[in-house]
Amino acid sequence: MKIFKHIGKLLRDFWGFAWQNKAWWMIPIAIMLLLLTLFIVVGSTIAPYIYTLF
Amino acid sequence: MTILGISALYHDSAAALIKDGEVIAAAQEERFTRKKHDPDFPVNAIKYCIEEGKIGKKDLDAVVFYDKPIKKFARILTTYFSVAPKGLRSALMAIPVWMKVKLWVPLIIEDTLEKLDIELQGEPYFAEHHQAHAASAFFPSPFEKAAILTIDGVGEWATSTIGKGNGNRIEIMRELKFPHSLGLLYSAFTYFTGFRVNSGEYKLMGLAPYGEPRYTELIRDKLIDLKEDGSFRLNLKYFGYLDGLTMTNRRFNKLFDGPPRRPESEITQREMDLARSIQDITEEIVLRMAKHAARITGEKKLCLAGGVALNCVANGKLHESGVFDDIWIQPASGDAGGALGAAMMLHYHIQGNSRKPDGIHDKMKGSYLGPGFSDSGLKEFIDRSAYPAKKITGTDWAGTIAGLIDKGKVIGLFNGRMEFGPRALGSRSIIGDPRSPKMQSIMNLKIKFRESFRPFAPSCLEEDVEDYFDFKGISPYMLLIANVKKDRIKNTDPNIPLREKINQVRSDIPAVTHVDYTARLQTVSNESNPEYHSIIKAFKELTGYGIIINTSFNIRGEPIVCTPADAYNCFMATEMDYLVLGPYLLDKKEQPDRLNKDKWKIDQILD
Amino acid sequence: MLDMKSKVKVIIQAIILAGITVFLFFVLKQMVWTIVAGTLCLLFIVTGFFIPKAFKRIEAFQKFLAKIINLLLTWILLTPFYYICFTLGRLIILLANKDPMERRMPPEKTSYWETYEGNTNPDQFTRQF
Repeated sequence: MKIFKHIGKLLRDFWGFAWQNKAWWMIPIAIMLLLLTLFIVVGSTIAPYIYTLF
Repeated sequence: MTILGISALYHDSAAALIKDGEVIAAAQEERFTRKKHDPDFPVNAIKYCIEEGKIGKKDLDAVVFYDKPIKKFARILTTYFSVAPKGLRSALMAIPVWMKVKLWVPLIIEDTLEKLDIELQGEPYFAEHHQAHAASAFFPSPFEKAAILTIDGVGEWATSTIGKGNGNRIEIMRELKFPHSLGLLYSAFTYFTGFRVNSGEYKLMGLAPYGEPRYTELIRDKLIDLKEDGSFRLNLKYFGYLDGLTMTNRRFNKLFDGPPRRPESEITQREMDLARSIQDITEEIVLRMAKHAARITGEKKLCLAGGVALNCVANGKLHESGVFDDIWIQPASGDAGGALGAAMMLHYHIQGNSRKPDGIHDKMKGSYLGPGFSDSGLKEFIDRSAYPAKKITGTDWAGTIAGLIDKGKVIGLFNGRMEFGPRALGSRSIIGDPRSPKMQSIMNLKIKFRESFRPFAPSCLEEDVEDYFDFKGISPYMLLIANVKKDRIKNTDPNIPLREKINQVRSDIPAVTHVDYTARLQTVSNESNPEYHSIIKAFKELTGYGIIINTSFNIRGEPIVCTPADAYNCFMATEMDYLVLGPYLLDKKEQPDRLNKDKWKIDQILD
Repeated sequence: MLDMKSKVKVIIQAIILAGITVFLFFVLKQMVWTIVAGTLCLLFIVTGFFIPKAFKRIEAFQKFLAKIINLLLTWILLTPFYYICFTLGRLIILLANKDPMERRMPPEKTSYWETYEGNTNPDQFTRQF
């Protein structure tokens, strides 16, 4: 699956960035935001069903 | 080794293809999508580059992107950390775009190439934004060694850098960092004077000569702490770009006598004075930076790139100052050029391929790097719609066009490969007679549908440039201004109002002489564009003047035309008299449907 | 007539809705909602297979709705996240007496040029940072 490969790559690069710059704050924020995105993306595909139900 | 460079997702997306160090193709996405400054991933530009380079399925060796997404993203998050709880509105707009698009560049590249049936060998590369700019300034330049100065809005963190190039390597030495940015300062004034950020900067520069620099002291006192070496910090109390959606804020309004000018409302003396003041400051900063670059690099030559390097007035002053013996400016200095720079960075700096400049010629091929159309292709276009056209060949071609210019006709010139970068250089140009006193307002109002204060640029025979301007050297990419020669200037009264100033006859080439007796100059050589050169030469034989007006082939708010269809449409939508499509000459009077204005209407985005 | 891909979409949506209808009827025993979901399911099948024009309209409406919900979700989730995370972060930065934006202008400084931090080693070009 292409998308998993790219998620892995992105996380690896985020980790590399944090390591290089000692910017550890980046990791939790990046993960939080990625999870949020998941919600948003999922939100946009299941939204019609949410509407039909509620 | 075939390398594709991409710049995208900010503004002015573009793609460039190089093969063994030779630039094969480069184009901006806006030309294909007809959306000015299109920031979308340049799918069409990439497709064009692949076709132009005849790239087969396994022929693409590398792709280089022009910035480092994660570094940039970290800068944006850091910005919010320094302004929160303010900045929410900006974050609500920016963060979703980053999460959904801008962080997924490798995925987008893979998808795009897949659709074009190209198998990329290996992973994509990422150059830093200012490395890409520096590379686009130095590697195509004719110099073996040179200082490099890049100035723009912002990339990852850097907003200006000083570096040096030597052979196939560049080294960046100093940087100024966000939020202290000359590009953003200039854009702040662009916004404040009612023009569009990232595209109206040109207008601000054109407006400057009409004003007095009465705000320069205020700007120095309140907005900027400028050091002797050109480095500076901005007083961010007055700017809105850290925590808001506008460039300037209420404190800024208070400082400069009221709120920003509303777009499209009347331009007053205040805007002209602001334009002049910020232009003066910009020129001074650029000059100081250049001097500092000369000092710390010890080089005699300079390469320039970054959006601010499109400020040809500042470039002209720098050229005149003699700080460097020679200057080379990347014609696509804005973000589009980053695509080319990124690709070159990989070829020379990373892979270490040898580079042998000859000291005279650059590697840009006159910047004619976009799509071109063969005579048969043009004929097919004309035949398909049965447009009345006349084929002219041989020496008649230039002579006929020159004759029409002499008769005061306005001609759309579509010939050869499209230019890369924001300037039209004779391939996608509208040309006219510079001797005509009415030409500036005719072209502005009837052809380009734009503000009448905006000046036009001359294309001048390279060998004749000193007959018209106090200028030594060449300016092939219209990135330098020069003073019109004293003996050509007609004395005019400086105390008359703006509206009349525009219509004054300032010299014997009034249509290309700006109110301050300068011109944004393009020198045309027989080598880089023989056909365009032949037109100007024929005009000289006819009139004694080796100089014509050259403005980009588009109307206001529209990207420069790309295809014959775009050109024909623009020709019909305006009051242009003739259209040259390669060897074919089309007369407006003979065209069908010429009175049906609705049919040819072009959607204008106000810029 | 709809193409194959759209037909598959119709079928998937209808199946999901049928499932929901069954669930509502047997597990939640919600009569009103069962009727709503069942009607929608039928609507999809009927329009999808026999009135493509109407189905396209429904689809466009769904997309529009998704966009709105998407936007609202983004705002609802991001706003508290922004205020909590970034304000807290700023407090910490302030307490540490730092300013990543370097907004101060110390009078003793004679130059704001900084030594370039990045590097141009070949291996850094493979990364996104």
